[in-house]
Amino acid sequence: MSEHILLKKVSTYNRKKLKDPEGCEYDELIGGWTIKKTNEYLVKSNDPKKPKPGTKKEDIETGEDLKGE
Amino acid sequence: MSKLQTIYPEVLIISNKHDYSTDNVTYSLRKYNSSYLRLNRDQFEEMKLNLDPLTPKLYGETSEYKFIIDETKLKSIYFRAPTFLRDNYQPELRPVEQLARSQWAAFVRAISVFENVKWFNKPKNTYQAEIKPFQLKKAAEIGFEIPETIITNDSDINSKKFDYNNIILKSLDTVLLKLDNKEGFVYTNTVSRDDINNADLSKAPVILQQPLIPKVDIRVTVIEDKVFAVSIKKDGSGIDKDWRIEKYNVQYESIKLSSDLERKCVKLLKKLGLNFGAIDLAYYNNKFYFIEINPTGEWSWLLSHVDYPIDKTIAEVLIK
Repeated sequence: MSEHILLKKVSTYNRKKLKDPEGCEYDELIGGWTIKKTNEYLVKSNDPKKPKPGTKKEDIETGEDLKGE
Repeated sequence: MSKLQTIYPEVLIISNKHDYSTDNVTYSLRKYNSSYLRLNRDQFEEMKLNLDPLTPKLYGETSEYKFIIDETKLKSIYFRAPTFLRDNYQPELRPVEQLARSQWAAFVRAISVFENVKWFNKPKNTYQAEIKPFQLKKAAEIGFEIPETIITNDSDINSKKFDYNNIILKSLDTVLLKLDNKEGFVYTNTVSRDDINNADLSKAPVILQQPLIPKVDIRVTVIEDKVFAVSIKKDGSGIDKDWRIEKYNVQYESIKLSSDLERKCVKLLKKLGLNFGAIDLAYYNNKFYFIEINPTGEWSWLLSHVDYPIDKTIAEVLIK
């Protein structure tokens, strides 16, 4: 039996492992990541290492609400 | 006796620790001196949580603070958690991990007991709004142009009133597959009539749609009655395939929709019971077509491309 047409169209990728951003810490009270050295909000900083937001949450193609989680 | 500070938030955010879009919102909430609380699902195990479903109140304690979610003080909930769950049962997970997945997911759903606050979005409404054929029906009722669509497991394309040489093939729901050590995902594809005629669809239904080619994709982020639209192009032209395949090579440009189209976008959210939605439109043959709405659509990647205060607007409506 032939493969289903959707299976023929599957794009594969390596699942990214979530890592804490380097040199940063998660601040429980403010609910966000800050850069340890400067205490800046990571997402509002010019730090070149800040995570790039994707078109999906965490840039994983599982659907926009992490449906596969 | 614990001397931890107790927080009574006006805004509750359900997220996870590595969801950096949420950081953009908490940043704005801080600027507005809002009393908010971000609870991360991946940190639930580190907290003590007690939910009284009748009052309703959620009491919590972490190593750093205590909190009480009290509907008399709470204004809104920003719900950045899954609504559809697809992999609670996985044989390779230990029983305790399977149990934790299903039961914490149910705990997150249980937050629905806070009925009398503003939600972005209510999980039950997200659940319904995620159903693609339902979205299409509601969008058509409002007056959106809709591509001709059929949901089928019958590959006999000639028996359908579908007079196109090429056909858009979509999955009815997100396709996420585990393939050895990788994961698989299915984008929207353009296929030929022969591809469909020769396919065996009996094992799983698909969505077939009228091709809108050439097209320009439009992403419309709607927050209550605020509308932020961008066009998505590559080298100045629309992208005929699924633009996400080209997502690292595209340009986003802020555009102003007609007031009629903006009104339709806002109305669609209302009809679906949503306060937030990311709508995909396609501009084809001088008309805007509704493609789909993502009730939990991502938006933060747009912040670095266009000058839209989406994060600030979300914060504003959460504390309004």
